[in-house]
Amino acid sequence: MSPVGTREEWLEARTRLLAEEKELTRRSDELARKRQELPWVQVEQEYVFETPVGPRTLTELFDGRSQLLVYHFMFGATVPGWPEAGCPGCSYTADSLDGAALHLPPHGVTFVAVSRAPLEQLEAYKRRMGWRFPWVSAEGSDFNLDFSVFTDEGRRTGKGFNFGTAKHTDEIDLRRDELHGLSAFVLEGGVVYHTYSTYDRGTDALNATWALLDRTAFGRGEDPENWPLRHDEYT
Amino acid sequence: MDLPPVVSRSEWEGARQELLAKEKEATRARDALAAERRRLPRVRVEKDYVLQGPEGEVPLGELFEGRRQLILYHFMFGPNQDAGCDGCSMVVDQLGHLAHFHARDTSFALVSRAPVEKLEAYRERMGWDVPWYSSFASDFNVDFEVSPEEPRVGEYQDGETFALDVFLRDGDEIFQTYRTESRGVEALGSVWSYLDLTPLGRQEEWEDSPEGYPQGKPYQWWRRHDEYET
Repeated sequence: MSPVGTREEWLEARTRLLAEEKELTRRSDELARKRQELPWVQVEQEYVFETPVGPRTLTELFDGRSQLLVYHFMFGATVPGWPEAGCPGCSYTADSLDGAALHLPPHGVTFVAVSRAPLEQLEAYKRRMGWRFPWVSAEGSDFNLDFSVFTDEGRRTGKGFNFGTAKHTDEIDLRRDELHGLSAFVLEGGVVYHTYSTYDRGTDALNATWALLDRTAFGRGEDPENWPLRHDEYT
Repeated sequence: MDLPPVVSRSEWEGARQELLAKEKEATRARDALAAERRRLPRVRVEKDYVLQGPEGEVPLGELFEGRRQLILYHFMFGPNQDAGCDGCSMVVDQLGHLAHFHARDTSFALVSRAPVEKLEAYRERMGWDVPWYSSFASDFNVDFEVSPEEPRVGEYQDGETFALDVFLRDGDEIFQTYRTESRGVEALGSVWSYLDLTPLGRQEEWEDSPEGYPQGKPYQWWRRHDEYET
């Protein structure tokens, strides 16, 4: 265990660490800026999702806002807990996302979780976990595959998880396996563009609202009036 | 507005891969910082602080609820206010389920200067279940430099500020190991991000921790929040 020191000694060590923490904060700001500079890719395919209010297209999932964040929640036949429950790791992340997601729509960003399981299963599990975020089913669509690999080769072989990172490359087949991640889309002039996706440890820092905004096409933007508010105060 | 160029999927993947390398560097740097935090010296808390909970007086040691570590968020709620700070409220909204902290031998608590009745009423309004204690009758907030000596009427939340402290319990003794403020708090959100501030870390075997620290396999300790054995 660490040595016990005086308040002064601790403060000195803490202040040294603070300098490094600040360096990382600046580096994170720089990364968020680079995310916003990534090129955009037009989404040509018209995906349709099963939602509690009937079938909705990807464009309709924006729900009148210009930005959309999709959490790829692992809930499919290869996930532990099937057919009653979604992935425990995603559930853990969702516990935190649930509160953060309340603050996104008032900031112009729609948040939605997407899974392969049929809608009835998603709704039953959502009730059990007490979550509020919208959750739609991509059953029967290529949505999950299309936003986990980005080359024709990847689509054919199911290989290429996390942009071809060497780790896991052999054991993961994206045609079959459920994997979690986050994708960002933007709606501009009636056209949907894909701007960002992240997987694996890239999702570590996702749960806070600021961290989420750092991954949208327009970033944190200017602080609008009346944001953030207490979650029961948004109109 | 100058929007980024529109490209093909494979061109986008090239740009994304370049960025991924930098994101990974930042992830490694974050891990290295967490390893340094686990080696910070600790300071004994010498004073016997007594806070107020919904059931009555609670000594600081009981905030640990029998666990080894305590993450304590100083939530800005002035004694003359009826609602707590909106930014602090957003922090609590995105806290996640406490069962995941408990599974890592870590308790989480909020402390504010407002009297406990006000905290309870606001907690109910917000629908939170996180334990919340009042330091109204204690020196705790002033000693930890989140409250002015006397509440400042007319200032936001009567002059309170926010901060996050981490404590470690060893027998009957309590030690402060860490504190962060301002943008250090802004970066928090996920259970992982909080555990990275604690003296024991995530308690996973890949972590660079001092000899003898509790460590297990990553991705195996968590459960659905209603499936943890108590």
